[in-house]
Amino acid sequence: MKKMSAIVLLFCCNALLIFFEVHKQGQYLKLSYQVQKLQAEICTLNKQQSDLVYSLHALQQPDIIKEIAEKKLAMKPIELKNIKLSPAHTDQEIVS
Amino acid sequence: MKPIDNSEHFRSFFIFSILFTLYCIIIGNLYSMQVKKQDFFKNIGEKQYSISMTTLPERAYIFDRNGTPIALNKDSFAAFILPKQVADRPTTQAFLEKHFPSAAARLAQAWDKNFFFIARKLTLEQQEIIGTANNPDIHILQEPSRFYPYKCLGTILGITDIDNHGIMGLEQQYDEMLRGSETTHILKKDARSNHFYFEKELAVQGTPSEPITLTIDADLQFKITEILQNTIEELQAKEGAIVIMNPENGEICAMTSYPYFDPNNVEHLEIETTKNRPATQAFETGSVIKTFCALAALDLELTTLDEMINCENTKETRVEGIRVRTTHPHGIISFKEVIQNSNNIGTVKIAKRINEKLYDYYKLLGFGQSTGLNFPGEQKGFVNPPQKWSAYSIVSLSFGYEITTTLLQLARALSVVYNGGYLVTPTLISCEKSEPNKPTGTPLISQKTRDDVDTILQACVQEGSGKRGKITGYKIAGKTGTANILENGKYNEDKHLNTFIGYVEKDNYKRVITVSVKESKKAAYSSIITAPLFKKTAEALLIHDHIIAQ
Repeated sequence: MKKMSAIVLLFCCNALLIFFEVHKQGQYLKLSYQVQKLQAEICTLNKQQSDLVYSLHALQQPDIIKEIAEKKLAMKPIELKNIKLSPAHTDQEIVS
Repeated sequence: MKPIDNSEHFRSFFIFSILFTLYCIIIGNLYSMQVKKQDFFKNIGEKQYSISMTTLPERAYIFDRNGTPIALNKDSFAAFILPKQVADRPTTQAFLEKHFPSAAARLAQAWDKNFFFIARKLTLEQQEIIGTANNPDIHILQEPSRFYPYKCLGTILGITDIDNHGIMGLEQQYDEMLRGSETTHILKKDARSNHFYFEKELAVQGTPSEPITLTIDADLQFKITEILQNTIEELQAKEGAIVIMNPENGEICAMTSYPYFDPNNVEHLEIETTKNRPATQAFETGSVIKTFCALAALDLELTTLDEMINCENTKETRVEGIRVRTTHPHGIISFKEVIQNSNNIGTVKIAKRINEKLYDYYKLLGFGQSTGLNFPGEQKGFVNPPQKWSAYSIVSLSFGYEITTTLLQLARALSVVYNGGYLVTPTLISCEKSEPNKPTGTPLISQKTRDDVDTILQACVQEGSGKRGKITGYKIAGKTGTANILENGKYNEDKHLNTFIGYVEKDNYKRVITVSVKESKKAAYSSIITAPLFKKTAEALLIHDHIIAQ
């Protein structure tokens, strides 16, 4: 009888270990899929960021800004002789 | 039990033999598959669940000195077909013949291929045409390409080719760094795992792409390019260039050429517009070289600023039998005035004293050799060596002939006067992470010589040919130069190259500016061509850098 109990116990232990192993593998795959999904999302977001950076700088081209400044806002380039330092600035070092 | 007769014996033996033979064949086949052809079948098996995936990092950005991206990425589109799988060949062929005739011609020889590009980097118009056609045989592919927000930087940054490899300018020089290298992974997956994998093994480790930061200020570059463009158009000149450099460390703040090209639109590219002239175009400079001739004479103590030189009050004379011409006649004037007024007769008389050592000084100041910038296509220039001199060579060399230099070399040589006597290495790459590019060691030129040359150059701007370069409230020094252009072996007196090498200082702020204008139709002399251009450039620089005089 003792021999029989030992065999049953051994069998149960093995079954349990197999179950754990399968469960572990399942969890591993599940997490691995999640990681891969997140990685794919990062790629998509990076791509979106890159596209937005491109759009931003395409709109910020100096030629475009200049045209808006001159034609729409009637701005004119500043001349060195027209720049006067305010008294508050004269004591400060403004050398960059 | 019934005894087995002979025929049954025979039948048993026969069946046994057949089964035995079959087992032998199976074992033989198993041996062949499992042992002899193990690698072959292993490969087939692995191919079913292993996929090799190679990724190339995104091409890195290029930033200006303020961190503004000046070369970034955008998607471009390519159209392709799979010739072997085309369903409606006549329609596809007719469409290509109408809208993409060159592709149709190429395709005529490629119907047996698996893949065929119709066109790459499609324009918006082409994308629309393909979209409207709605032909299921024509597919669209997304590809990375470059975008340059500052067109005026095209001659420095260069461009990339259809495969996004640098083929000009800094894109070419730093291609390996900007591109990085491919990484390969082996993915374990099965038919149902779709985009997912079970395992990922690294097979080849690549290197990430690395961005570069330039010393160039993109906004300043834009401003001075505009100034240059306006000047060239006003003067109806052929071309021009400007360099702004920090003499202390050789950092190039701006370097522009006109005409230039739009790096975002390279379909019809004119090679002439792609030149980064300040570094890749060497020319005979004319009188600006007198600055360095004077430097040599003063450093060798062959003259002083006050020495009176007889310029013979004529426009043409003979010095030791050699004919010398000058623009304006002067009588007996000091050496300082000789350079200040750019008198050729007086300069030649001093150059005769320097003789062959003039060549040594020109070499010492970096003429006729690489600046160390290593820009693709950079010119070294040329200084005629004494062993090849004719009787006229010393005359030519003293006022800027038989010597060719780039605008960048002139900026570098002038920096020697204003940075304590060192020959700096010009750079376009910011050294934030590494040691600053500060020269050390023994100065090449003595303090006294540098002070004397500075005095001459300041006088040139205050009272000489560079008057139109003067800016009140700042220390300005400079020298004009006008050279005739060599055409078919003869100097054309109607075509000029005008230059100005100048220096602007305010407290600790120092910048060297060199400008050139070629073949102006409206004027001939640098005093009215390049001196005002220098002034406009310097003013734009001072406003941009907030260097305001009280």
